[in-house]
Amino acid sequence: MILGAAEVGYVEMMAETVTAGDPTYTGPLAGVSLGLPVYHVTEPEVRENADASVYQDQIGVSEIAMETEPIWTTVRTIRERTPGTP
Amino acid sequence: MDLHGKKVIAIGERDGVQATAIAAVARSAGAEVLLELNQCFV
Amino acid sequence: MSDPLASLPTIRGISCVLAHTPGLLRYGSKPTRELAKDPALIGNVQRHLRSFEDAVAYPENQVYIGNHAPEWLWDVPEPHWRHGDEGARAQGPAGVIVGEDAFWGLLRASDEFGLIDIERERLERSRALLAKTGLFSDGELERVVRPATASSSSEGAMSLHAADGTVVGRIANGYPGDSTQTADILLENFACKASGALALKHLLKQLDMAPGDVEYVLGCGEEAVGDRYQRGGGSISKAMAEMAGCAQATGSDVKAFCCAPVHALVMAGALVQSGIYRNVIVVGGGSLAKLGMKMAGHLAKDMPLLEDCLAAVAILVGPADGSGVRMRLDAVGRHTVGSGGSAGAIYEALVSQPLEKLGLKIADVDRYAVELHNPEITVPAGSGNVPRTNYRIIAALGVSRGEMKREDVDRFERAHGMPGFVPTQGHIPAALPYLAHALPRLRDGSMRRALFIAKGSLFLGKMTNMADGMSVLVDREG
Repeated sequence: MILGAAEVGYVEMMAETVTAGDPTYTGPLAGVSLGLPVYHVTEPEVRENADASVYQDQIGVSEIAMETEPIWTTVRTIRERTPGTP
Repeated sequence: MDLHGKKVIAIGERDGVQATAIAAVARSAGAEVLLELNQCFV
Repeated sequence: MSDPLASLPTIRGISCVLAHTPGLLRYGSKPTRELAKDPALIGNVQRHLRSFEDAVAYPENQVYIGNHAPEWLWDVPEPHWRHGDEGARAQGPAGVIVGEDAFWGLLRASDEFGLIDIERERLERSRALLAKTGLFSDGELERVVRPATASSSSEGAMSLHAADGTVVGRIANGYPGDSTQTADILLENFACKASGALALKHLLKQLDMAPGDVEYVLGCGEEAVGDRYQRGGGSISKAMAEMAGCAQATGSDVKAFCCAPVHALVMAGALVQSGIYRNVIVVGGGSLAKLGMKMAGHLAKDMPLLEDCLAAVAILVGPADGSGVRMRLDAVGRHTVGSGGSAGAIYEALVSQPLEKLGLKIADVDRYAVELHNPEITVPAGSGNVPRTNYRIIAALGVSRGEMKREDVDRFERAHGMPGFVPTQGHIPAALPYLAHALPRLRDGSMRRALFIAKGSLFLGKMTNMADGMSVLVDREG
């Protein structure tokens, strides 16, 4: 699962939704635990695997706009709680 | 973490990075993109 | 040789109106679904509804009708809903806030088919309140108290409730057996029509313009008016024009998700510049579906349900009027099929390309109006701060083009943007409400340029995975 959300709160909600189930207590994934490893598209694990010019074209401006540190911290914390994450 | 050969679900946000952009990046890393979903919460 | 810029149209005025309808909140899309799962939730919903006075005093709503500049919100202590504006008024230079007591009458007046039935005493009260606004003729006020005809079927009728839960009337289904004309869909359309007509009436009064002088109305809302053979037939614009007494007008609707207002504004400008019409009014009615959209987050945080207002806008586009304010139709920004979906590509198309045509840089625009969703509504629900996110992208684009430094990304919102102040009513926050604040500043010369940018989430309709976007610069000559 690779997320593109721009803000920490959003990232957290999406990451929680796809790992532990919908935290807003509603929605189709409420209570359903998918347990999938989740990454943010700006994380080094994704960026370093991608083609550099594709990454720059598609993500370049977004990366400058986003506050990546808090996003990475949030996503990593949720990911490390998910069993089966490589 | 190597994305090559992995299956990916891309969940984008209209004001963040959209799913088509995530998918392009994932494919450039050799991943197979199963699903592209865009979210808009307003 | 004549100056090609001399024929650019101008924006003559804008009205931004709110109808505070807490009793209708239960019929928003999210509340409807949540209450279907758990009917007992209505108690908690009702405990969190705001009074009319609180809705009027709410700082963002005072900004919306023009009583304060958007920048004033930076200094209002948070949460804003606890710090109502003490000098708040229900009228402002750019608009008006009406309560549900008045709105029942507008709903009744908007219905020619006898589908909406409201208690007589409520309608009399509505008539008195609407008469005080000074916006309606005696004939129009008579329509407020006209009873629904007996022919309305009670099949599938939905009760209409005041904020305290008291039943005030009901709305029936449209054509029997037509699933595209059920009471809930019709209510959504009547709410849009009534609020849009209110904005139209307010605009005409504000500009001292005779309804008969209006030639064309362009709708820009996201409602769908029709029946089973033509679900999205449209022309709610012409219905609004009729309700507002514009006997010389016809209209049509621009459908482009929440990008529609800017598409419509550009089309209105083109119709005027070409000389086809002397004036065009763009109208966006309110969205019943979006009432209470973020209620889960608000209830979880014991906040009032802030999405309790239908918001509508009406904008008059006309030929140059000596004010010097111009719609720069020579540099419209458009996101095309081939533009690409990255934030960089989108904003290249909407910001850099049009500015380049005019020989301008990002910092040459005084204010950017993006999607001005009130963050006090969206942030507690985990949906982020939409204007802030968009301002950061514009600044990031500037950085990538070498026009700005990284440090400028954090500052851009204050330097060239504004806090969001518009209710989350879909197409309504899409940039144009800022015209209420931009026009006076452009006219008095304290502002030179404002760029209005909207985006649309076309992917929600499942016909495409694309988004859409359009921008138009409004500037002052000289």
